Parts: sequence; C-alpha cells; structure tokens
Amino acid sequence: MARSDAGLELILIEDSQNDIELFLNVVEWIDMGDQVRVFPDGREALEYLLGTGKFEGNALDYPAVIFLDLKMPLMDGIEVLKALKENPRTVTHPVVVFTSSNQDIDVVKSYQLGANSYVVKPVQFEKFAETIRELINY
Amino acid sequence: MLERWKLSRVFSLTIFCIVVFIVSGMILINYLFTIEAVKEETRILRDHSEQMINTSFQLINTGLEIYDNSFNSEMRDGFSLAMERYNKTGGNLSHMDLQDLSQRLGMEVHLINRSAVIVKSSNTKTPLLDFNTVYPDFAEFLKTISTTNGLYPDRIVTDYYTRNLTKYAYMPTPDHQYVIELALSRPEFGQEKLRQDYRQVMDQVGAINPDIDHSRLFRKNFRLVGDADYNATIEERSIISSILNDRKSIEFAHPENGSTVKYLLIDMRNDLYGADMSLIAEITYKNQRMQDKLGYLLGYHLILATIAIISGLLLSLQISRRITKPIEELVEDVDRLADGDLDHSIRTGVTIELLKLQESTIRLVSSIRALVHELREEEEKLLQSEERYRTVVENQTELICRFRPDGNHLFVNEAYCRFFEKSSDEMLGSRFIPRMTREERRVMEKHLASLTSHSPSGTIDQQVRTLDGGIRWVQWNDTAIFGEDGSVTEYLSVGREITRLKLLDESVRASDMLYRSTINAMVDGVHVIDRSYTILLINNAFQAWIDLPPAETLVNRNLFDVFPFLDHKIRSEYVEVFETGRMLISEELQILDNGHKGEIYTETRKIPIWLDGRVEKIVTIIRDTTDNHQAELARKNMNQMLEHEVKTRTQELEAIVHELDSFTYTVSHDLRAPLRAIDGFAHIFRLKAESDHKPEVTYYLGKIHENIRLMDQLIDDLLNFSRMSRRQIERTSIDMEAMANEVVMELRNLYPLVRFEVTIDELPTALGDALMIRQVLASLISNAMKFSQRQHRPKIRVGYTIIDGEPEYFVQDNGIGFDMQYADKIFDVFHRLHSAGEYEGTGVGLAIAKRIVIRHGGHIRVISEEGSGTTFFFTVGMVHGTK
Repeated sequence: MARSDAGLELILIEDSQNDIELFLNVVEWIDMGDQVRVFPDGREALEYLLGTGKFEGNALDYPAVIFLDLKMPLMDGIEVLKALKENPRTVTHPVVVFTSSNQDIDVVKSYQLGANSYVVKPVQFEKFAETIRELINY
Repeated sequence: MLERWKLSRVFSLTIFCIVVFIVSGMILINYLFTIEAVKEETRILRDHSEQMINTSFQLINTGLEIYDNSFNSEMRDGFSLAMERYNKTGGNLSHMDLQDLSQRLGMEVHLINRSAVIVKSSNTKTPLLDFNTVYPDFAEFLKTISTTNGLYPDRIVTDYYTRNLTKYAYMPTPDHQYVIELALSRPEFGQEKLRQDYRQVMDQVGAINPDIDHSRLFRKNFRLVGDADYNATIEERSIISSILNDRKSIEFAHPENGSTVKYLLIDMRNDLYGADMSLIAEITYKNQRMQDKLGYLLGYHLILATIAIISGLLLSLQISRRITKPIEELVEDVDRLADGDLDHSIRTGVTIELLKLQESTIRLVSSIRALVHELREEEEKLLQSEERYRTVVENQTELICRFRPDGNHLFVNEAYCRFFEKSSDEMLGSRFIPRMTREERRVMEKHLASLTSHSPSGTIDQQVRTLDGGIRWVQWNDTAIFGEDGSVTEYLSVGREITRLKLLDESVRASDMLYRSTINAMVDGVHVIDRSYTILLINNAFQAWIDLPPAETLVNRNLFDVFPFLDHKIRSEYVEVFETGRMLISEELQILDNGHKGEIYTETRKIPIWLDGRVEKIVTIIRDTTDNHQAELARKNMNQMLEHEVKTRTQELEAIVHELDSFTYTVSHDLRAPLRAIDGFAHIFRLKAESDHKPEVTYYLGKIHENIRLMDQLIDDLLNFSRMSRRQIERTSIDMEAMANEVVMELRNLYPLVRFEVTIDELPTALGDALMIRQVLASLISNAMKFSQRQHRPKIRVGYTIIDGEPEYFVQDNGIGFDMQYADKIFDVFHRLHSAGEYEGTGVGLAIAKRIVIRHGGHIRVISEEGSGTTFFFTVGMVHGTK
C-alpha cells in the first residue's frame, strides 16, 4: 500500500458508520480527506501502526494523529490505547480519545494510560465539526 | 549647759569664735608664706654666690692656662735636645748625663718609666718620686701617654718636694720605654699675686652675701690658698679627699653654733693636662640673719593677731546687743501673755524675722483663744452625748445589768426591769437572783466560774419562769470584769430573749422527723455517708432485698460493715465521687444469696454533697430496675431484628438503584450516537438545500436541529443527575463566598446584555463536596438569572441565615416568581413551571440541586411570590466554623 508523504496522517479508529461518515465529511471540508485512514476496530489499526499481520514489514515511521473511540467490538479503545502506549514504536503518536462516553472512569483511565487528549463527541454537528478541526490544527 | 546661757552671751561667743578663727587663720597662713619666702631668698643668695665663685674661678684658671702655655715653645726646644741625648744612649740610661742636660736647658730633667716611677733625675738632692703613691690619677695619665708619641705640656704647679711653682711638660721616648719630664722653674712664678686672685674673689663674694661668715680655699694637696703654712686637720683632709673622689660638693649643718659649712668643688680638670687644677672652697654660712628675720616676723604677726582678737570681741558684743535686745523684749511680752494676760500687746521688732515672730505669736494667741472656746463647746457636747448614751442603754430592748459576784446589782436598764417585772429601785443595791431550779442554778454558777481573765466572756441560755408560771428563754452574754488582785469585781450581762428561736428549733426537729419518715417511705434504698463511710442516715427500703436490722440501729455504723458484699469496684466508685465531686450512676446485677429475690438489677446514683469546697457526704439512691431491665432486653432484641431487616432491604434497594443508574447512564449515552448522526446528516442535507435554494427544506431542517439540541441538553442533564446520584461525597472545607463569586462570574457570560446587580454577603465556610456544592450554587444562581433577566433592574443576592445553629445559605432574585402551591413540584425531574418557549431549560437543574443537598444531609426549600421574586434556601448538613 502506497503511503502519502504529504504531511500528517489522521487515523480514525471507530466502529460507528455514522460517525465515520460525519468525520470524513468534516475532514474533506478542510481538504484533509486524503490523509485520513479509518479502521473499524482496534486490532487492525494496531497491525497497521506496528507493521504486523496484514501490514507485515510496513510499519508506520512518520507521525500520525490517532482518533480513538472507546466503545468498540472485539478490542475496545482502552485496550488499543494501552497497546499503543506500551510499544516504543507508537508511543510518540498523539492519541485523542474521541468518544461518546464522558464517564469519569473512562476519562481517568484514558489519561492514566497516556492519552494526549480526551474529547466527548458533541451531538450537534457544528460543534462536532469544530472540535475535529481544532484537534487537527492542534 | 549651753542652753541655760543668755542668748546675748551665746551670740557674742559665737561671733567672737568665728572672728578669731578667721583672722588667726589668715595671720598663720601669711606667717607661713613669709617664712617660706625668707628661706627661699636665702637659698637663692647662696646659689648665686656659689655660682659666682665657680664662674670667676673658671675665668681666672683660663687666664693662668694661657700664661702657663706661653712656656710651651721653650719646653719643646728642650725636648728636642733631651730626645737627641736619649737616642744617643741607645737605651742605657747610665750613659745619659742629666746634670749636664739640665744645665744646658735651664730645666730639671726626669726620666719616668712605664710604671710611672722616676728612675733618673737631674736633681740629686731629692729622692726619686713614685707617682703611683703620691698622685695615683697622674700616674694613670703617665701610663697612658707612654705608649703614644708627641709633646704633652702641663700646667704650672707646686713641686712635690721643693714647693716651688714649676712648669712641667712630658714626652714619651720613641721606644716607649720612658717618659721624659722637663720641669721649668722661674722666680716670677712665685709671685703669688696671680694665685691670690682666687682669694680676692672669695673675699668679694663674702662682702656681697651677708650670710657668709668666712671662707677658705683648699688646693688638692690640702693646702690653703694664701696661707701656705696651714696644715689641714685630718677631718678636713678626709672631707676634701671624698669630695675629689666623688667629684661632688657637700654641705654640713652645725646647729650648735647656727652655721652651715659648704664645701664647694670648683672642677677645673682638663684632659689636655696631667695636673688637676681643681679647688675646694669652704664657705661657712651663718644662719643668724634668717633667725633674726623669722623672730621679727613672728612678733609682727602676734601683734596683728592680738589686735584682731580684741576688735572681734568688741564687734561681737555690739552685734549681740543689737540682736538680743528686741528678743528679750519679745520674751517679756510673751511671758505676760503666758501669765494669762491674753490682751497684752507685743512691742514691734526691728528686724523682719522679729516682725514675723511677732505676727506668729499674735496668731498663736488668737488660736489659743479659739481653742479654749472650742474646748468649752466640746465639753458641752460630751455631756449631751453621755446623756444620749444613757438613754440608748436605758431604751435598749436587750436586757442589760451589772452585778457583783454576790448578786448585788449595780445597774439595770429598763428592759431588764420590764422583763423581770420589777422596778430598778427594787433591784439596785440588793441581791436579785431570777427564779430557777437547783440544777439550773448550778449550771449558771458553773458558767460564771468558767470566765477567766483570758476569756472573760461567755454565753449561756437560761430558762426563766415568769410570775404567771410561763417559761421564757434568755440568752445571756456575760463578761467578767477583774480587779487588780485578779478576782472578779463585777459582771456585765447582756441578755436577749430567744423564746421564739427555741420554739423554731422545735419545729425544725419536727420537719426533720417528716423527712426521715418520707425517706423511710421510699421504695428506693437511700443512705447518706460521710468521708469516713459512717452511715449518717439510712432508710428501711434495703430490707426488701436483704435481711437487715431496723434502719435506726444502722446509723453511725460503717457502710461496709452493714453491707459486707460491696466489692472493691463499688468502694473505688465512692472514692471517685469524694475526689471528683461528680455524681456517678452505675447499673449492676446484684446476686443476693439470702434468697429474697435471687438476682436483681439495680441502678445506683451516688450524689456528692459539697460543704466548704469539698465533698463531705454522699447520698446514695439504689433503685431496683429488674423490671425495666427485662423490658430493655426485649426492646434490644426487637431492634436487632429490625436493623437486620433494614439492612437487607437497603442492600436490595441499593442494588436496584445501581441498576437503575447504570440503565439511565447507558440509555442516555447510547441515545446520543443516533442523535449525532441525525443532526450531522441533516446538517449536510441543509447545506445542500441552501445551495439549491430550497428555503422550506432549510426551515424544517433547522427545526430538526433545534430539537436535537434540546434532546442533547436533556440527555446531558439526565446524565448529570444520574452522576450526582452515584458520586461519592468527598467533604472538604469550602469557601462559599469565593465559590459564589466564581459561579456568578461564569454565568454572567451567558447573559452578556443583562446587567445583574449581584450582592454576595460574607458567607461562612461549608463542609461538603466542592464539585457538587458548586453545582447547587450554579443551578440556583443560573435559575435566579434566568427568571430575573427581563426585570427592569434584575437583582440577585447570595447570603445566609442561621437556623438551629447551622448556616442556611440562600439565593434570592427579584424575578417573576411563582405560585407557592407549586413549590413542591419545582424540584421534580423535568418539571417546569414555565413553558420552554418562555424560558429555556430542561427542568433538571433544581432536581439535581435537591438531590445533592439531600445527599449531603441538608435540606432545600423555596419561598416565592408571583411577580416579586424567589428565594431558595439550602443547608449543607455539617457546619465547619464560621467566617
């Protein structure tokens, strides 16, 4: 798989088709649609980032911002975060926990595991779009 | 004795003494100074004379020296021939013809060896001289020059043997074996005129200084200048030797003939010459002149002193007369006053002091007059006062009498008479003894006999039988009065009737009986003990529990003897009550072995009784609580059952609440995902519709968006509500005032166009969960803002009141208010009193606030009036200090 060298890669780990579509819609507006890579579950995303499994020998070696949902099948966001922050290859990638949950325990756990930011997805689309834009610019 | 002298004599003596003292002191000082001056003058004159002698001699010597040296060239020529001859001999002196040389030179020639001894001389008549013995100083000089070269001229001096004046000169031989001495003697040397100059100086000085009696001038060789034949005495020789030796002048006083002899050394040595030209002047000073002068001075001063003393005497007599005369006059006048002639006038004095004395005396006289008058008045008053005192004693209600030991009365007052129904005439001077029994009489006599001079007073109660057969009580206070021989001369008795007191005493006894019976009638056991655990009082109630003799027999017995089963614990409880003074209540199970009731539960109260700052007695009340105790046991069992039931129910409830909470959470959480999708897609659709210019579609999509926003808010509030229900309360100290300020600041941003007038009072700190209490304040303040924003001048006040010692905070607004019949509903979830269109909001805020306050153990309430505002009150449950 060819990789774009044109700057930052945005990795969205999200199972909800609706949210994926809305996310893409937002990044397209700011002309960053090409830089987005979506994974519907954590396992595949990990393989991609670490260069294992399907992506054997093709590890990512430039910075990427990871948008991580917490509530996912197979492997949930907390587990993904833990794996990312335990591996020296991926520990430097900034991770934004981008989720519907604003349960205290989730927030605390995310930050404990080394999340760079924790953002609750706004219901209103304008706010949702604004939040994503701000996170990317940041 | 001095005080008996006349004043004039004292004065004159004092003034005389002072004058004599001062004048004689001055004369003495003057005399001493003059003596010193005379002595000084004499001394200066002497020094001056001696200095003159010394200076003149030095001058003469210098002249002689010049004369002496005029022969040096002749001597030098002589030496050149002598040296020539000596050199020719080759050291053998026998080859040297000194006679021939002497003749050719016209001088005597001597050869002196290195030991300062003349070994060969041209003069064969005189023996060879050893300088070491004759002139030891000069011998040293010769030894010194023998090692040098050159000519050493000397002075013209007297030859040791010939006594001729001779000019000497010396020259060491080139081989330093000998010193050649040439001696030139001329007849003109013998003209003593030159040498006589010294004598002349001495005579002149003697003429100038009258103190000098006579003087002589010694040479070194003890001969006198001007009298060559004089032979010095041994004494003079030794004096001169010692002066020459020490090179110092000396002085001898001869008090026997009033003279002083001074031996003055005139040092005229010169290192150039071997001969010492020094002279010693012997000057005899006579002290007579100074003695005469001193005698004259003494006489003069004595005359002066005598004159001074006489004039002092006269002066003092005059002064004392002037001073004492008016005093004597004054004394005379005062004497007349003292004799009683108080109207006699006093002659005027001449000095200020006497005038003052006169004034003082006049004042004294007038004071005495006033005093005499006053004394008379005092006497008058005293008489009146005695009269009054007498009246007081007479009218005293207490019985007063004085009587002799034999019973004879000396004084009785009216009350005494009244009491015994007799007149004073009947009693006075006669033996009166109130009627009493023999026993009473014996007691009374014993009482009177007990009064001693150490304790002369005593009190006794006496029963007096009246004439009509009644009994009255009198308390007597008797005081014995003792004569000089130590026996009682009389008694003073003061009696007070105490009949009523005695009756009262009996009524007290009756009331004592009453309380004893009352205590005995009590079902509870009661006893009173003192600090030694002696029973002072006990009732019969104990007999219901144990076998005891009648209560009366137990009084004064030891508590632990009566109740031997009281154990160590109970004893220590009594000790504790005595020490701490606090009442002690204890419950215990008493097992009684004498079969009355088996075992009983008792409640014992040990009540301390204080007296003078310490516990003196303990009242113990023992109650049989066996019945109560059984009831208590049943109640406890019931309670335990109930508690267990409540616990089980609570656990069940907690589980349900937890399930409900997580259900609420999940539902509201999962509700957000589809909502977000709807809003997102609707938005995208709306953007398309706008670009396609379909305003109707845009409008409806806007409505969808609006509803989704509301739904989102509802879910948020629901989540919040649920979270607040589950959150663990973590209490910390909260600065309520600061928190209210922060919240107001944040909330003002929501209404940028409204100018709220917010007042925040000084608030006490609260002890609560900061996050939650902040939520409460936020809910109430935002509520207040919401409903007052449209008022003309919206006002909000945050303050507190104290209710049951606990701060009750309040948030007050002047908003639209509501009807109080809805006051309960306002805290329900999702309940709104106003339509969403009018005031936005979900209706959860107050529900959350209420839930938080309730969870904190506080309460929340509201007071409102439609149109004039609402006030919410709440407490936080626990108080933590005040600000």
